[in-house]
Amino acid sequence: MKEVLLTNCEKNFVNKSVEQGTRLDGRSLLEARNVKIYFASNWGSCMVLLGQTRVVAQVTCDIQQPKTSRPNEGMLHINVELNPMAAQHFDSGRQSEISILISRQLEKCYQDSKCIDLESLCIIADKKVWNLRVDINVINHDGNLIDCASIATLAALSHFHRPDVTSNGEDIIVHPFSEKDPLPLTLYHYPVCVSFITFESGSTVMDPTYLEERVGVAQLTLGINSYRELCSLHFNYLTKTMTVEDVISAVSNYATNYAVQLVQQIKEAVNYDVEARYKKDDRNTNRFKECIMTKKLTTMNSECISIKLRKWSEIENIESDVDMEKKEEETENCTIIKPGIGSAELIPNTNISFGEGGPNTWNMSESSEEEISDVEITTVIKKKENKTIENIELNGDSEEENIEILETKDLMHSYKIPMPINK
Amino acid sequence: MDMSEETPQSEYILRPMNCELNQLSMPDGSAMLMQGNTAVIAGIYGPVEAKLQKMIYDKASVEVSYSPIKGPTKVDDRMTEMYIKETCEAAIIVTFHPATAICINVQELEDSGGMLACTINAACLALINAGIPMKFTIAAINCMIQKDSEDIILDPDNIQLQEAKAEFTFAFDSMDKNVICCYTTGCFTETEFLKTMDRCKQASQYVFDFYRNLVKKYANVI
Repeated sequence: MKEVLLTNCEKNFVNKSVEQGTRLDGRSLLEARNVKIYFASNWGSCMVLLGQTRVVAQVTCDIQQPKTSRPNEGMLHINVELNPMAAQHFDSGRQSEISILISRQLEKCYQDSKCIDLESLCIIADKKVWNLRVDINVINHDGNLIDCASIATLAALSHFHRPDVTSNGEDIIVHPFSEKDPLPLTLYHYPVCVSFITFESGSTVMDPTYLEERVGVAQLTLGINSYRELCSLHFNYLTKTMTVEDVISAVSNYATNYAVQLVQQIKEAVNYDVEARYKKDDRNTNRFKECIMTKKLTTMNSECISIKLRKWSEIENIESDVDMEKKEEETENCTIIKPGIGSAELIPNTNISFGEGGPNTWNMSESSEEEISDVEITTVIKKKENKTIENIELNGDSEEENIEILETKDLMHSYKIPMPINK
Repeated sequence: MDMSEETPQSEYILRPMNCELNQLSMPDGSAMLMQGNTAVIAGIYGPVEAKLQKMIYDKASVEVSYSPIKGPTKVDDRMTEMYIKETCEAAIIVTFHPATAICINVQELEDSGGMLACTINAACLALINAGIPMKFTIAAINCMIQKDSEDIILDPDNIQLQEAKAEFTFAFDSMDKNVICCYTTGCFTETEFLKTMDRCKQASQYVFDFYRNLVKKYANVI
């Protein structure tokens, strides 16, 4: 499929607004978008969001024979896949110009800068070494793929843990994670890419969006590590219209500061998650689950859906009847309207709750609150009823199982009480 | 048949489902679906202009691409693509948009069992989100038969799947609960097959309920 054409209107608009120092999304010219990193439940897998641009990275490892030129070093391969989901014009399975460009830039930034201790990945020299493979899948394209991919690569590599190996003479044993703790990779330095786009007017913009990338005339990508060292540099004219004045010197200082800050952020996110995994503490971590925000209108979260098949319902009814009887014994002193058959019918409603934006809140509390508010208005009518309500609340706290049945009573109460008001 | 003695109640559980629609800005419709730890993201472009080779003059052509998280696309992934294609083609009213293409793209994020079922469900949710006219919605359920105890486990995770004798994935339509797609591995008897199918058919209702609740949340008029 073809890429959607860029209209002259859009082009002129973006050019003019950049000339005046504003951007469509309200950022200043040298301001990057927010970075969010989410990890999967296995090692070395993460999803990175740079504004709307979205990339997933997965690091895998296997044992291979090393290259003859470097017999005592492991290998690192970076593979960038432009998913047709990311944009209409991306073709699956075929290596396009952009994907080769991104792979090459990442290779320069991570492989050629020797940021990973490849010697530690050697098991038996000249025979067996670890081969690392980084798979990067672009899911959504909103400009600046290279930055997003580099953040994902760095996060995935520093998050990845490989299985431990021991060697007894000839054979090597790869220990599963249950036997021996996995080992992290050693990173000498943390490089990250920072991209800029220069427009016809000569002004340079950091972290361009898709639209800005298409309007701009020259692009610059700097690979910088946290020690403020340059690891890779890529400068390219997108159109052959004019020569751009010295961009590199103008932005390099700013880019370095930003890179240091960004690496710090990635390191913190990775460390936090790795620590949580060591402690086996899953709370407050950034996993894929947290990526689905609970309070949005377009999201839906459900707890474990326990299923009662048709043949089950009969047995369930009997069980709940037994429960009811017990309950009646317990709450003899309060005058309650008979639960009746209705309670049995309610079971599926309470068990299968599609929590609307959060964990299962018991309906009990809501209905009792309502009831109380109703009662406050109609206190004059009956004091007796107040007593029963208190009892119900106590019971509700004491045993969770009772709630199903209590609810029906509550409902019936609340139906009953407002009646006088209506009259 | 007394099921309760065969299997304890806890076996009948679908893992928690989490879904967000419209997460991606580029596709016309998208859905990220998590069933337990199995996570998938699906994006739909369509109906768009079809390539000349793939254009069908009286109906829309459905193109599916499935990309795994690890490594290049393999033969297995092509098979998954085929399953998604056949399943979704049954649901989409293809004659509504003749000579166009509907592109369904699915990206695996994490596999911990029941991948095919999750991809089909995500594709269906993305189709709903993209507003593609459909005859019915589809719900896929994964289940397995345990090796020793012969228990049927619905929606197993990858740890449970290690003890599987046979694994089944069924997709049902929402109207008549007919089977649209069936994928099995392993050995099993005919009665076992019918029993698992019946079990999955009943469980599919809960997935349809999930769809409905999800759409109900943002659509005012249903």
